Amino acid sequence: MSEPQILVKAHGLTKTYRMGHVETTVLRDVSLELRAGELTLLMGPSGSGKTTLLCILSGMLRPTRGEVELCGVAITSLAEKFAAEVRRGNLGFIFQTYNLFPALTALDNVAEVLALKGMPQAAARQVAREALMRVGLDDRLHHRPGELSGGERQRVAIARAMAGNPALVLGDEPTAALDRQTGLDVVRLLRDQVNERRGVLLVTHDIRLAQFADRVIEIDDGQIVGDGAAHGWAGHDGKVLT
Amino acid sequence: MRRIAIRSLLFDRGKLIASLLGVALASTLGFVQVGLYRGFEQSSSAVIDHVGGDIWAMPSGLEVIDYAQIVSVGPRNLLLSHPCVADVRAVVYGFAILQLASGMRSTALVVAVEPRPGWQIPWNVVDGAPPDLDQPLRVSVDRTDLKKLELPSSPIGKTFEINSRQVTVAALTEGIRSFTLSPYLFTSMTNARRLLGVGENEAMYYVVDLVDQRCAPDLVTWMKRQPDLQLLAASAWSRKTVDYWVGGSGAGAALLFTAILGLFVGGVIVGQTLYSMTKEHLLELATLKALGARPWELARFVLWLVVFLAATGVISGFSAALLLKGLLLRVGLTVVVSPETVGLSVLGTLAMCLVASITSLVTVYKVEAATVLR
Repeated sequence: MSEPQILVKAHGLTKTYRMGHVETTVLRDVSLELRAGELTLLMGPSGSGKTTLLCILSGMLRPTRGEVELCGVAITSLAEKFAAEVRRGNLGFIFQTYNLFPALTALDNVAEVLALKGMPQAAARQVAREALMRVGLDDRLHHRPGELSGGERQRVAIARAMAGNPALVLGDEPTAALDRQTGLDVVRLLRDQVNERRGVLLVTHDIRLAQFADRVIEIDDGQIVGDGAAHGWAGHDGKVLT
Repeated sequence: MRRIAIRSLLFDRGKLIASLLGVALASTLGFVQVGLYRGFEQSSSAVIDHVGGDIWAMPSGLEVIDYAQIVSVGPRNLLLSHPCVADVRAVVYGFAILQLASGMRSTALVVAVEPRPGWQIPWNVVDGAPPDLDQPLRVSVDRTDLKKLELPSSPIGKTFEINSRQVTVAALTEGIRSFTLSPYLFTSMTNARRLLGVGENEAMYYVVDLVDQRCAPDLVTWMKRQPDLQLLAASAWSRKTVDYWVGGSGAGAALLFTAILGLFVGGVIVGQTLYSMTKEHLLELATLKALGARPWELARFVLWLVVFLAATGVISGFSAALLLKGLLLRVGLTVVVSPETVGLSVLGTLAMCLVASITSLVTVYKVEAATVLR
């Protein structure tokens, strides 16, 4: 069996913010690899550096030091417009607040992103329709976000993230605004999207999600303090998953 | 991005209505002010533009056609003696005192031009016939002046008094108004001379038709032997008259100020709406940027809003301007709607929307993808 494809290779990431004379280091010498076929959770307390790490891994923020290779491209040395090209071809995003256009239907919210990536309108709508059907929204294609429940909105966001067939899907607290059961359903759905050519990285506070994960990375005070298989992982509260 | 922008605008009815009102208001003002300006221009130089010719000869120092002075017969013969001159037509033009049946006294402009085949003065005749004006003391009146002249809607055969002589209406014109609002009374040369007390061979202007336009400078040099006379190209004379009335009277500046004010108010409303919509959708736009959209692709969100608002604003503004055109004509104001005035107004509205969108464009252009993760 061949080695899983490495989607992200980060080495020695340090991020320091300067405000006046005060310097705050939010990431300290972080190194990690993310592979296809894995659902990885990035966990840690508020202010531990999770979101900053996500921004740097996706090429939206430059580290003060260190390198990131995203799908084989050294993204940290690229100008913003080239970094955007790499994101466009390889990444999907899911957010806590869904970030859907309120005036567009579920179908349009997905199709317009595909059109923006260069897909012809007719094909984009077809692919969007299929993506929405895969997340169980067959009967919600023409509903606007305001007419959908929180779970359904997040499903639209998942369809939007998956429709372009990205290699890596990044989620920032995707279940934080959902009730317990809906949150678990959403992560189960994300779990189903993981395959030998795709990986998922979720930033979360929710330890319950670990039951769907392959791997958990724990970060605290800007440093990785734990990195291992989700099965049997002992979190900061000492709870062991079995 | 077009679908996202337009759907977002249509989705927010309150902002849509506010911004459409703003653009429509600015656009209507633009159409009406530009149309009024052209109307003023046309009315101040209407006689010059319709009499035409290549060069107008007149007393030196004259600034505007309405302040006409008598020129003797001498210049006419001098002009005709130049080989470059094909024809010379005399124009009799002057103010006369109008005495109405009610006892009201006012002024009117008596105009006569020597006839030339193919040229009909007056123009836009809707009732009666210009040849009838050759009959003694016959004049034409314009429909827009009927109330002022205390005449009925069918005025042919009716009489009134000018310079203590009773004249009879023999023709009715449509839309020939002077800038001074004094009614134009067109008549024959004989009648005009009689009404204005001008000698048989005298006139106020001589309109010269040249054999060849290129010999105009030679003719001007030739006429320098008559120092009390100035020669102006018809277009220059028309421009000078327009500048005197529309520019010098402040009417042009007032119209321009109102148009700019309209564009400013419209611009503020549109700018406010665009900025508010942009701020509202900044998170979604940042999401698109995170997904790989380029800054100029996001800018298209704002630009499509601009195109939609400008297009709908222009259409509604144009419709309102057409409605106002009819209403303003009733109070004696001519709004000219021509490809030129429409083009200017459309450009003005588009420019206003584009300027109003600058802040929004900068905001969208600068949005950071990372904001979606903070």
